[in-house]
Amino acid sequence: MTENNTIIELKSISKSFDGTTMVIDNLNLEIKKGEFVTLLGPSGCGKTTILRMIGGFETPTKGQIFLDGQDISKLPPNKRPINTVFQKYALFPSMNIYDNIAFGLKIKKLDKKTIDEKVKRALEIVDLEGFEKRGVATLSGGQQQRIAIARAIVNEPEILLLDEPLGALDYKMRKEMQLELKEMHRELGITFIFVTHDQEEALTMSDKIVVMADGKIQQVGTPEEIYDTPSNVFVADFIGESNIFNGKMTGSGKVKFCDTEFECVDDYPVGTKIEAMVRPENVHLVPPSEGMLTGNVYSSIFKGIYYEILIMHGKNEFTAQSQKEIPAGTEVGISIDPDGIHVVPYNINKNHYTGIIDDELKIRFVDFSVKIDVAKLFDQATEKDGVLYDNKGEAIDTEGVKVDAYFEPEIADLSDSPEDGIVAGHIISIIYKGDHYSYIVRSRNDKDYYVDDDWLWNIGDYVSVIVPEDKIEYKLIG
Amino acid sequence: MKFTRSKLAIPYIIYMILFVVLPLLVVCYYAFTGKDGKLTMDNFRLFFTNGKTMGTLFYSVVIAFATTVFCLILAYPTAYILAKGPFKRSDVLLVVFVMPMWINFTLRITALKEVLSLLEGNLAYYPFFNTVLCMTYDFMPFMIMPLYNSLSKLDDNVIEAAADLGARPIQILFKLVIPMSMPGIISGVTMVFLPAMTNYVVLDMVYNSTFIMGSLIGSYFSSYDWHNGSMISVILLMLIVIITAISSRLTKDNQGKRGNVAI
Amino acid sequence: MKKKLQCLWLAFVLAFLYLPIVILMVYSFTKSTTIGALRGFSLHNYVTLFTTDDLRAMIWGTISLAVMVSMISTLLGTLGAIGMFYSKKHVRTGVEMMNQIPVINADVVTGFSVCILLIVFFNMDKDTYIPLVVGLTSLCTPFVYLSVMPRLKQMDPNLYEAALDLGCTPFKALRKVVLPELFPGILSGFMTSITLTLDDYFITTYTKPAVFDTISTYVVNATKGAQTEIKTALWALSTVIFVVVIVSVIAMNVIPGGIDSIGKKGSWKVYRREHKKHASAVKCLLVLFLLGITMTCTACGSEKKDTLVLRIANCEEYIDEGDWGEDELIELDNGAEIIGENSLVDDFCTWYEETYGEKIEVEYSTYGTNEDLYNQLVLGNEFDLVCPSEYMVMKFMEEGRLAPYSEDFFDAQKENNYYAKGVSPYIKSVFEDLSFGDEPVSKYGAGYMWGNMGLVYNPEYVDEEALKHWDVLLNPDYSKRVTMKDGVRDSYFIALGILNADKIQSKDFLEAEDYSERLADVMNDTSNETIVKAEDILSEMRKNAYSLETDSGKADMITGKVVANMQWSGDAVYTMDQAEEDGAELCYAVPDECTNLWFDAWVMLKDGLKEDSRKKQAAEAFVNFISRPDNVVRNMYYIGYTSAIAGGDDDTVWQYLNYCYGAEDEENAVEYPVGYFFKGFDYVDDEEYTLYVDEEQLHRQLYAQYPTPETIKRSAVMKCYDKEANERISQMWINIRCYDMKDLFK
Repeated sequence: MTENNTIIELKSISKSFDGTTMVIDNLNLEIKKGEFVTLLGPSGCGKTTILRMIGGFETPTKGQIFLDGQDISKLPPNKRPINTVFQKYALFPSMNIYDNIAFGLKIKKLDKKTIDEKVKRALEIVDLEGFEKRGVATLSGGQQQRIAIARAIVNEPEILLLDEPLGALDYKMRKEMQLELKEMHRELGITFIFVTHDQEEALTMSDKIVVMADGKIQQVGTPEEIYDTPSNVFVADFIGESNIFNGKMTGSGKVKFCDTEFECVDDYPVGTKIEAMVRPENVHLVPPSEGMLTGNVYSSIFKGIYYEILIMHGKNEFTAQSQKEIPAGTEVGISIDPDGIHVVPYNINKNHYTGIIDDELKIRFVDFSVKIDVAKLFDQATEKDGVLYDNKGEAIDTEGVKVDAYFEPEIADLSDSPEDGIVAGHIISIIYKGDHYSYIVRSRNDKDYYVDDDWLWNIGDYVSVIVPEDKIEYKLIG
Repeated sequence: MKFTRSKLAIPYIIYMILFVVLPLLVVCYYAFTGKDGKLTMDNFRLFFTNGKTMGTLFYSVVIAFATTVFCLILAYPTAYILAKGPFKRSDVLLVVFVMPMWINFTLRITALKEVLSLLEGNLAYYPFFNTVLCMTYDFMPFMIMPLYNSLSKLDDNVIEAAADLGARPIQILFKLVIPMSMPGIISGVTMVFLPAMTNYVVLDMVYNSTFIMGSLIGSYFSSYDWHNGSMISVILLMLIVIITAISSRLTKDNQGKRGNVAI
Repeated sequence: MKKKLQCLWLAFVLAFLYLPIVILMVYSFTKSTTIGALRGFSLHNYVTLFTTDDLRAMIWGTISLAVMVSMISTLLGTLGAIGMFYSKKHVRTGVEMMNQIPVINADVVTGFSVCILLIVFFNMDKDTYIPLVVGLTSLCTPFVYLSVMPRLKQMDPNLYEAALDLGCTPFKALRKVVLPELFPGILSGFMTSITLTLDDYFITTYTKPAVFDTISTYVVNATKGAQTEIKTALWALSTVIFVVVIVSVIAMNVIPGGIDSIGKKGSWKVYRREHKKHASAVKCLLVLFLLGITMTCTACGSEKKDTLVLRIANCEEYIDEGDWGEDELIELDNGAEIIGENSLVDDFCTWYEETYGEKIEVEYSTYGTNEDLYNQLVLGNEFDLVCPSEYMVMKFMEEGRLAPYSEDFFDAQKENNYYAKGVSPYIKSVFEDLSFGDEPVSKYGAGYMWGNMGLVYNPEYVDEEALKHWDVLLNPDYSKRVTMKDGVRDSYFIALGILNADKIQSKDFLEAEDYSERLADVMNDTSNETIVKAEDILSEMRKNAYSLETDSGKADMITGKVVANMQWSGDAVYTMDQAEEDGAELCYAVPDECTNLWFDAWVMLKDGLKEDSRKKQAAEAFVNFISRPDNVVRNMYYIGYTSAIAGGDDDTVWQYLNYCYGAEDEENAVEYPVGYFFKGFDYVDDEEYTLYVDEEQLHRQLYAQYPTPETIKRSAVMKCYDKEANERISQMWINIRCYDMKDLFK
């Protein structure tokens, strides 16, 4: 049943521009006919690359793209029934509006009368009747935007690709265009694939949102699903605002974080490390006696329709919303309904690195190497003159043996001096976890290090990761 | 063969390799071979051991240096006034200053020469001065262009900020404006210095019978000595490489010498 | 106040930039020949500019060359920029480095290297125009690249993709969307190319065919030359160019819009207009391109036509070019009336067709010195008939370049064999005595002009005593007021004269029996130490000289800038004639030591004739035609040199001499024997050929044209140096032009 409904399908798509760094990594996606799909993610996450591959401006390094069940991966853009609205519109400055819109039709060698009609109709759709003779430079940004859309839809594509088309418009114009685009989508009934980094825009317009980060899809779902049940802390943090805490399952439907046990609707085995996410609007402020926990207000900021209240509970910070101002210093109680807590298991694959023992009994990792007492890794082994012997006195061939190293994000620290730590890199992600920040540092060799640090750094900072050597756990692999 | 846009450059690349790179390689070949066709450093040695050819190098450098200094002294204030002065359409005004460039240089030198003969009576009494003056006259537009470009990019706020912090105009000029317009100065200097070392036609026209580097090539050429002629070319090439290396180290602004002269 | 100062400065710089041009413009509308004294308004410079064939051909040649080169460069550079813009970064970086080479390289080196590759290495013929076009294209293409690339970088990269998206093939997308976007860049690249080509001297001079001149090479030649008419016509040319430049700059900048404003501002009407303008500009460029191609094709193809083409190369201003005024008619006592209406070359074509019944076309080109001619031959220019001096003839003989004259040519009985009939017995014997190996020069060369080397001087300023010695050129009293020849042989000869002054004027030497042989030996000394000594003398001489000239000395003498000028006898005659017209009296002296006796001869080149008997016949006919006594007189009148033709039975030449100098009736008339020339050296004092002339002619034109037998006696012919000596002397000649570091410490 899905077969005839799917218009475009991306199968195991990978894309790399330089041959080593994967911009898109083994991505699968299905888009149904007539949907308004938004690719949402921070800049550099690969969403535009996906769009360009669908449009035919890039070819995937690996994988295939199917349109109506046919492989179009190698088809040039001019042979695809797909049209694009570009970020800065890309109207042809040397032609007037009419020639711009009629461009595709003329290429198809339609007769003059048909072209005239179609151009007229396209201008009607975008509400710019009578603009045929105007020059591109005489139009405002919003008008150029509409012409770009008209130029694309006049060719009656099966799919319309929109690459952050509203990015260059001012706030009010953008709001208007959002609604108009939605309306146009309804009217035309064709598939829209829309790329944006603006989560609000995505939530407003889409039938389906594809949240992306780092070349991978994080979550696919309706706006409600994405907002209410984010699949990981990244999505929760990226879409709307969230209080995120590390915690543990303490029983069936019971979770503990901020030294307090809460009831929740998600269920995982007792003892599972989890991350709990609570939207500010789900943090209810009650008199201190009625609260599940109490805290002191230390900031109250007017946000137009509500006050944003920041509350300190011990070392943890909560963000809540309130209809009335609560002066700083007030002690309040906090209560959270079970369905206001969204729990996801803590990703246990973090901070595992594979190294190889070399001939000097050092362990070499991609970014660093360490000298430890390798003998401890082997059962009852002893070291003598750089060679390991087992309990029978026979030499063990250690060279090339693989070792896994792991450290807890909490024990690591960041430093701004590149020589301090075992490895240096750029911060690529920050998530606030109530009492600390959770960072991802990416090294030159493309390895990610997860570090929890109390201090605030910025995205893009060049830092080194300090890990006390004795806190790294080593294990033989295999 | 599939069409890709980068393949459009093939005729251009072939042409450039054949008629820009290859000729220079052939010149290098001639420079390092003797009349018998054997590899030799003799030509190279001859140039650096012959006091006369070294004298020519010295004279060329002095002429070029004097010309460059003259050009800078005249062009810098001009470019500054054009870029930062009170004139509204300074871009149009600039055109007026670089327009002489579009008149054939031999005709322009003829004009100046006629005027100089009137003033001096006998041009041969001041060959050095006349040469430098004519070269300055010839090359000054090439100096004004890059200076104007870099001075007009200079942010007015920076000057105002310096004045606000108490700097005197002369301090602003030497500590701020000149250092910040360095890219323009350097590209202007390269545009003037090298041609001034080789443009022997100017010397011929003002009766300066002393050789500069360019004339050496010509005279070796007319005595059918391709080998020594090529060696002079190679030495000029080396000078060019050195000067460009220095200037590209001093600035990232590597505009072509006459490339930015377009209308 | 500040603004006033700034305006003042700008005004000062503008004055520096424009005043010379403006002054020249003003003077171009007057009759003045030098800047200074304003003479009445006249348009004659403009008339000359647009009616002189030479100038017109040069202007059109320059323009069509510029257009053609710019077309090719624009095409290559634009394609290159587009291709590179879409290439990988490291490829682009590499190519852009290559692109920078001609931009920062000295033009001399660019021109020289192209010349070395194509002409020296691949032996390509300059006459194909290929080296010229290739050299200039190498210079211009990078500039087109540099002006297109920024447009590409500014362009919205999605434009191309948008076109693909709307169904264009890649090629169509480039043509319909990218190219119009790049147009301003392409146009400015084209204009830059035009400017560079119009301005270039160095590349052109190394690669151009001998018969072709651009504005630059023409102007440089003209400033070396003596023709004031051409010089002032060039003032008119500057004016025209200046006006064209101003008009086009105004058109580009002031007309609403300009190039760059398209797409930025203005109503759609303006936009449409601009768009159309571009479309028509593109069409214009196309038309020009085709025109350029056709012009070159015709230039190249003209040779292949069926008419017989005779390629003659001669020294500059070395033949009657016609166009005499009516008052210049020469009426001789034997009834001959001689006047040059058309150039001798044209007259020859007519005469040849009448006499031989075959159409002929002469491709006539000129060169500066014997060395230039040799250079052109070495670098692949082909000629059929050339006119070098005796030593160069011998060099050509040594290298086997010459074809001998046919026996028929020497048959004095035939009607049209004016050379055989009329050649002076003296010259004939000289040519028979001069030989290379066992072959006499007379077998290959037919005498044209002959003369010696002396000093033209202004008796008002120069002491006649001083002129008895060549070292007058070193005399600090005349510092910067004497000129020397920019030729190694002539100057070296004089240096030898100065070096050996005492020796060759000693009594023993003069009275020796083998005086002539010994003198010739001394004056052809090429030993190393002599060269070293000569170098010092010539270095001093150069520093003392006003200039080293090939042709401009004549004009400088006439204008009075120079008081003594080392000069060939014929040019001396021309100079004295011209000065006389201006009311000045100049004289000619041959220093006592020795002088150089030279003979120019017409020789036929094997490479040119290619054993084509028609061509050979035509070449011989040409020599005969210019040896016809009336034509001899025309040449002598026009260029001032002395012809090798005495006339034989025809007394026209003798009559002409009488016409010019005869003064039998005057009181102070003196005898002037020229019998040696008309009848041979055995008849030195022959009564029949003794002129009675005004006494002052002993120092003037007559003395220059027909030296006295004594002068001839103390003359020597300069031989052809052997290869090794030639190299040493060439290097010496380069050395004396170099800056002497010793001068620094003086």
